[in-house]
Amino acid sequence: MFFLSEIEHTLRLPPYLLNRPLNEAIKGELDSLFLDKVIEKLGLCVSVYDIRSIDGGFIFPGDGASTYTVRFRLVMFRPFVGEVISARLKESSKDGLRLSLGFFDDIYVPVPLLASPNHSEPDPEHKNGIRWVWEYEGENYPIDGTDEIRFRVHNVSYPPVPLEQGKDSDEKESEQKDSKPFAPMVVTGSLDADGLGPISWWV
Amino acid sequence: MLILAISYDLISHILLAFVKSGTLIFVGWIYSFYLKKLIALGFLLEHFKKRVCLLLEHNAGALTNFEVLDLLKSRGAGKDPTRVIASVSASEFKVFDYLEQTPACNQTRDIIHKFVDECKKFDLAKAEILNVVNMRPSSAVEVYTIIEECDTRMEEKIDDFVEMILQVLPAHPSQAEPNEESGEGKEETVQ
Repeated sequence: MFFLSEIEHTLRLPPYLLNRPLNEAIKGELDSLFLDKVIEKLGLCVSVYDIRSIDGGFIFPGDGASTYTVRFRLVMFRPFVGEVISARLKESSKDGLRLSLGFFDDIYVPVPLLASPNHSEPDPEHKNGIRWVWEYEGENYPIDGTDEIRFRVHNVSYPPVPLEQGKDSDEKESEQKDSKPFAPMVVTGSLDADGLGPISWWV
Repeated sequence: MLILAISYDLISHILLAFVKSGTLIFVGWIYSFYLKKLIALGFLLEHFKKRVCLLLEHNAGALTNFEVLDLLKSRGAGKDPTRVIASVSASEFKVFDYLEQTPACNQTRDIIHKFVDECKKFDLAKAEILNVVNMRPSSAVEVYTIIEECDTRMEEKIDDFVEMILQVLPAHPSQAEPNEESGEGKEETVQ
């Protein structure tokens, strides 16, 4: 689930941080720059693991800030295909399930990858909600939010950042704002194997 | 008259040479001034080329959930009830909360080393060992999903494997109650 990635970055340290010790200031800058952000093909950055080297400290003409070349390692959240992860149900809709890990919410299980055979029924607890039910040997096992759900990672994709469309009218922009916010990293999971699904089904 | 003419000629030549050299020096000075700027600019451009984040190593190592939890704890995540003083940001706290609910919260480095040693006789891939350490499957059904082609590779050893997991890796606190009795029973037989 978690990997280390080593990165070299040219960092500009603003002058108001000059009174702090160098390591702290650089770590603070790296945190604000990388934490909780998705880097393509590397995953979601969880934490700065360590700083390996700091070079430079030049001040370029016309600029008040010093520039450092820093090598450091980041702890990245990057689930690999085939990994089994346990998560909580966030919402259930006609397209499938959406699971959440607390720090990462964009895990989708589309209908074809749900445990089969299954059927959906309107959720008695939430209005306009759909609850999915697995049929096995005559018994009905609903997927509800009471316990953790184990899923296997089917695919991890990084959709490209949508370009702004300047010529659209105001109406279209307001419609776009209502739709889901852009997710830079999407994990697709599957529940279609033994041992997957809510833990209560198997224990 | 002739001397005057010659000297005048000479003087004018000298003056001209002087002026020429003067301008040359002047031009040379201007040229060097701009050259330095160009060199500085070139250096800046070189540096700006590297300004973009450079990826050195895509995968410098896989981390188990326990190692990430240990890292966050070493920065003071667990002991701080107010969540303000420790040098751990809010997003890191979310990861900490998630990891506390997984079986990783009870593990130690020794346990994981011991588990990896015991796994050598089962011939498992590194990713599978990582998965098992993170998930702690407590029954054969759960092991089937994690290990590929379980039937062909592990035919009868699967029960030994599950038993080894239950012995070496500690259970999650919420699972501890039903496992404690069976755990104590096994300790007696081992001793």
